[in-house]
Amino acid sequence: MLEVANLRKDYGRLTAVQGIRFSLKPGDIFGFIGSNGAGKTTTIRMLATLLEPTSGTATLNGVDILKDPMAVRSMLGYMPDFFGLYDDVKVWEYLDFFATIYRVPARQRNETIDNVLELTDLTIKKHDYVQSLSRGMQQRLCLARCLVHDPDLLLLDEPASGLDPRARAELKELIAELGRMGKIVIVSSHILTELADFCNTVGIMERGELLAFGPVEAIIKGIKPSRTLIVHTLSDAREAAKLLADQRDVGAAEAESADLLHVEFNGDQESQAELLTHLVLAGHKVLSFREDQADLEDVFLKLTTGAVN
Amino acid sequence: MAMAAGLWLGENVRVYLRNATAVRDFRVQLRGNRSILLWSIYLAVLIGFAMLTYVSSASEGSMSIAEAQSTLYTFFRTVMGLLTTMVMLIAPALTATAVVSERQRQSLDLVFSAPVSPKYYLVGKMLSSYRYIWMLLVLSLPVTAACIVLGGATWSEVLVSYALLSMHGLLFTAIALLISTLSQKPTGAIVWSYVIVFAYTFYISFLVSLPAFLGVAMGARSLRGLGEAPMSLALSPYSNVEAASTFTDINGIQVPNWILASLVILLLVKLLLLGAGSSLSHLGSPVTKSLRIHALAYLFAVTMGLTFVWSQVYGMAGMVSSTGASPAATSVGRFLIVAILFLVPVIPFISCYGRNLEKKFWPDGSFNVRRMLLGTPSGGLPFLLALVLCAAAGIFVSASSTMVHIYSQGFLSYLLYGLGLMAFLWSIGRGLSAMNENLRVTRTQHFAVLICLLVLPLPFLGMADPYSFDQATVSLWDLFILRPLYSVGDRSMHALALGLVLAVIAAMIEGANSRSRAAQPGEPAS
Repeated sequence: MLEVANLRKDYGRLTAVQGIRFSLKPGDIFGFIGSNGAGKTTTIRMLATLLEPTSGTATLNGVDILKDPMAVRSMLGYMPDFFGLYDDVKVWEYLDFFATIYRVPARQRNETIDNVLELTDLTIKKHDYVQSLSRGMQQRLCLARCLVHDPDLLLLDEPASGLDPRARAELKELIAELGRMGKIVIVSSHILTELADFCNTVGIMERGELLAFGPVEAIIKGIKPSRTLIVHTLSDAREAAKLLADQRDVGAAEAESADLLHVEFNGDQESQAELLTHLVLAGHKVLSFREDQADLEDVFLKLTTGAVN
Repeated sequence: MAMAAGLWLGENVRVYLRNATAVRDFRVQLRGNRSILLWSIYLAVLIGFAMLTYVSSASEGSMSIAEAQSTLYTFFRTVMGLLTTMVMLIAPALTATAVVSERQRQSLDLVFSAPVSPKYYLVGKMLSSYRYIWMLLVLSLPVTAACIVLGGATWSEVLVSYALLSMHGLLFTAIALLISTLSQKPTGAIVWSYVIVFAYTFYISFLVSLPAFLGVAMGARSLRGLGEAPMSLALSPYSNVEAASTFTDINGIQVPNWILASLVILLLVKLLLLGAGSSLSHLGSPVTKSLRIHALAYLFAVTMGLTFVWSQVYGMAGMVSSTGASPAATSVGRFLIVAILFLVPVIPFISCYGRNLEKKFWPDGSFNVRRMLLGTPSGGLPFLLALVLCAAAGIFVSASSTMVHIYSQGFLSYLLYGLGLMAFLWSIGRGLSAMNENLRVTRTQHFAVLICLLVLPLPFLGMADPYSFDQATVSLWDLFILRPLYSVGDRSMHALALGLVLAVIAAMIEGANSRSRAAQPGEPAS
């Protein structure tokens, strides 16, 4: 369990992080969204105990990051937005080094290294030099490094930056698997659609402030309480709009063109199906009837002003 | 109790014997043909040089047994001199990039996001370099063993010389490691490491060890078995051989100088490692506190020891000038100022932050005794003043034990002068910090100003007004900030007045600094 309480970081009068608070439970994959300079990396570095907060604190499984940073470090894996790999070192040596400093017992080290290499699909590269790996593989190796001590919390700062689409998809799958393994995963990213795919919780940050926090659907619903239905007909859209405007749970219905109309709808899925039935029974030839899905990008653009950019 | 001891032991085994950083670095060092090639070149140079030296010694024709022994001893000293030079060249090169290259590669954050203390990491870095130095020493053993076979040295001389040389190797490694943690670029780290290692060797060899060596050697028939000699002889890396057989008489016990020198070097290495650890730690971390406490304790011990040696060598009576105008207390006061002048190179590291870095600490204030050990801007002056007071306490304790009465106004005047001087030099650094954003620029400017204030006036004053150096009359020398030091007569009143003036100037400069910081847009008053 991670609990962040009023975490704040000031540099003189510049406030990088303004007393943010949230909590995450095992299995949560938390997407940290924000523009450059919003305070995501500062927050992650504070949670990683690399940066001292000006005030506030966080606890991981009840251990305070300020009071016992060493204990917290042994429970977390931190992957920054750079690789930080050593030259002239083989993949297994790199992992062996981190397993040793994370105090993995010597007799378990080989098995642990094999396990994390298997999880990150790098087993065949065990005896290769790290500088010979592709960027995607290096990224997976960094993730493997974070996993050698079986941490409860993973802090991944822009893990997908610079990866090709295939490597990105593989990484996404890996992070989702880590969530299923019961780890708390915090992922910061600019690529919002990507986060929505596998994060069950998101936080939107701007100018050091956490503007929104919660499950993706709840946040979307929070900024857009009514849904928009898009109806494509082969008959007159204006007639159809008139018909639908008088129906239950319909806020407004407007014809966008001769064959397309937008309906503001507040009802549940049952009444949405009834609406379609009503339209069809009234003799309208419906080509498509779908909900206009608001996504994280819409939420992000609505909530933020882009001030820090 | 037993559990705590077990934990302590386990932790030390982990740090010193099972250090992952050392293992990883050593794997990289020994990988491929690079090491074999380097060692081959090293051995070729060593053996070639030894053969040339031996052949030139042996070709001098017939000689007596004593002459032959002397020649072979010279041969041994030459070989050890060459080894010393190699250690001096290799130790900084191996170590200076150890931390700075990790910082550039951005792998430091990865290491410190794991449960790793600065001590564990630095000891690992140190071990990997030091182990390499030891391998070089072991590889050279056949050459020095030849000296034993030929009769140029005994086993004990060789082993003690090697022990001393390895201690110097450790010291050079620690110096380079500290520079590596402070540097931003590997090239700068290497250059500065060499500068400091060479400066240390020059200073110790020529200014500390050589006078002691000459003093002892003049009365001796041979350089071998010098017997009782100042311990400083063993602190010079080039006096390893001569110092091997010397000792210091402490209350009738003959303590070998190599043991004393090793202890001094180990304490120095600890201080350097604490400095390196402090620069890798958070504000107010236990390492920074430990560093500052060690610095205070060392200064107390060193000044106490130096005062004791000084009083034994010259006698307090010798401090009184021929005019009789300078009481011992005043001389001791001057000795205090000389001692604290060695702190001057440290001041830019304590007072300079640069606006960018200083923002992290605002609002911190100008003077806060409670932050003395934390490393924040407001703790800088209290710490400097505490250093001066510790030096004064060390001198006071030692001088008092030699039954010299220094409770007079003379010593206090110099103490106040020392406090004022430190405050003034600190305030300049704070002023430069308020004007510059960049830490390195601020420190460089501060170093330059310190040289202009303390060193450059000397030749100019010497040329412009060479005769009024020791006169009570008003002269150009009175403009010099270290004037109270440069006279044989009693200058304690002058020292007191100058100390007060400097303290007032320091307060004014810091007041202006605070106002300047407050005037910065978006920046708070300290």
